[in-house]
Amino acid sequence: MMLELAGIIKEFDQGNGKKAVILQDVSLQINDQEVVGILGPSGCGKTTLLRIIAGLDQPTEGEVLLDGEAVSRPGARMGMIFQEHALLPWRSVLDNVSLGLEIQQMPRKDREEKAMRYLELVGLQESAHSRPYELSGGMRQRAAVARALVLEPSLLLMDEPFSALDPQTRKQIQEDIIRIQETAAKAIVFVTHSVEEAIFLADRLVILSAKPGRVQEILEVKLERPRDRMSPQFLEMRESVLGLLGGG
Amino acid sequence: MILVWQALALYVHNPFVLPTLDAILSVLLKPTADLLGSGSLLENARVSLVRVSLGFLIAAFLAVPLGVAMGRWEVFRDISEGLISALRPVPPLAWVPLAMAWLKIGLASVVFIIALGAFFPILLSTAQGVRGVKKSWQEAVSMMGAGEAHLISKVILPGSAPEIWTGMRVGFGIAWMCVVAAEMLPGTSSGLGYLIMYAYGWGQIQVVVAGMVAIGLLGILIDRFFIVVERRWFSWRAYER
Repeated sequence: MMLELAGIIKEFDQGNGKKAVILQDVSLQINDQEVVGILGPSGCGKTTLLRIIAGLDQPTEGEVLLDGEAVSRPGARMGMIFQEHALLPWRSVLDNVSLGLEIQQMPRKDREEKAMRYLELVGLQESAHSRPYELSGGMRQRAAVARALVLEPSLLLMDEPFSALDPQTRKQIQEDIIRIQETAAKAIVFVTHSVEEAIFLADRLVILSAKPGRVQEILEVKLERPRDRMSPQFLEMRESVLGLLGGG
Repeated sequence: MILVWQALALYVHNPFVLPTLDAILSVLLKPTADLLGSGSLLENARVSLVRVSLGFLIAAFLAVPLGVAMGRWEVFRDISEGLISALRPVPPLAWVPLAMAWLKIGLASVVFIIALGAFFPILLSTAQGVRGVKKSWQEAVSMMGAGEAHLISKVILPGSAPEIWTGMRVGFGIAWMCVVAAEMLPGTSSGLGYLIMYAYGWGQIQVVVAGMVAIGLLGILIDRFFIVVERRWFSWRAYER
C-alpha cells in the first residue's frame, strides 16, 4: 500500500463571491503499515484533509493516489472511523459490522463468522446482539473499529475517533489500536487534537498550520513501543510539539 | 357522557332524534344481522375496509418512491414541490365530481378519493424522513463501497422508516375519513358510509349511531395497530437525533 497526496488545494465558496482557502498545497506520502498522525490548531483543515483522502470530499486541485490510482469517491479499500461512531441504530452490533460484507454479497453464515472474528479482536463478542445505543461510548467506537477492519482495508482513517471518550477508556482503546495495527498490519492516518495521543500512536507526525492549512512540519517519532507516556523522551517530544503548535 | 345520553334519550322519547342506548347496543351486538336489506354491519365494514386498504396501498406504492426521490434528489424536489403545493390544499372530497367524471360512479372513483387523501401525508413525511437521515450513516456505508442502490436500501429506507410509518398512520386516518364520506355520495350501495346514510333515510337513527360507533372503533383499532408496530420496530428512534 502506498498513499500519495499531490498538491492538494481545497477552497470553499463563502457565498459572497470570495473563496476561503482551507488547504494550501498539501503534499504527503504515506507508506505501507505506517501510522501517521495529523495535528494542528482548529480550523487548519485537518478533518477536511482526511475526508479528501477518504474520497468523501473532492479537492479543488491536486490528487490523492492510492497505489498509483486516483481516489475520486469513497470505497472499501480504505476504512474510516468517524468522530461520532455512525453505527446504524436499527441494526445489531453484529449486523453493523457485517454490513460491508453484506454489500459485497457474502453469504450470511460466512459474513457473520467473519464479523464475529473482528468483534473478538476488539473485545466485543459478548455484545454482538446488542443494539449500538445499548453500548457505552467506548464500546461503540470499538464496534466502529471492527466495522472498518472487517473489509480488510489496507489503510485505516480515523477522525478524532476517541475525543468523546473519558481518559481511561481513551487510553485503553489507544493501546488496542496499537495491538490491532501490529496484528492486522494496516497503515493508519488519524487526526487528533491531543498531542499525547499523536505521539503515543504515530510513527510520523504531520503538523499543519492554520488558515490556510499547509504542512508546517513533519516529525518522526523514534520512541520505542510500547511507549511510556511518562518517560523523559516522551515528555520532551510533547513539549517540542506543543511549542510548534503554539508558534504556528 | 353515556349516562347523559341515555337520560336525554329517555326524556326526549323520540327514536327518530335520539335513540336509546339499548336500541343502539342491540344493533351493535348483532353485527351479522341484516339491516334494512342493505347488508349487515360486519359486511358493510368489510366493504369499507377493502376499499380503504386498496386506496391506501395505491397511495403508499406511489408516495414512498416519489417521497424518497424528492428527499434525495434536489432536481426532483424542485420540480415536484410546485405541483404539490398547488394540489395539496384541495381537500380530497373536492375531487369527487372530477373523479366521477373520469372514472364513473363506482369502486374506482371511491378508491381514487381515498388514495388521494392518503397520498400527501405519506409523500411529505417520506421526503422529510429521507432528508433527515444522518449524513454520517450514509458516509460510513459509502466507505464500505456501497453505491446509490445500496445506500437507499441499507441506509435511506431503514433510516427514514419511522417517518414513513408516521406518514402512513396519518394517511390511513385521512383515508378512513375519505372512505366513509365517499360512500355517502350517490352511486354507492354498500359500506359503512352508505349504511348510515341509508339508515338515516329510513329514520333508523339507532342504526346511524351504531354505524358511527363502528366507524370510530375501527379507526381507533387501526391507529392502535400503527402505534404498536411503531413501538416494536422503531424503538431505536428514541435514542437518535
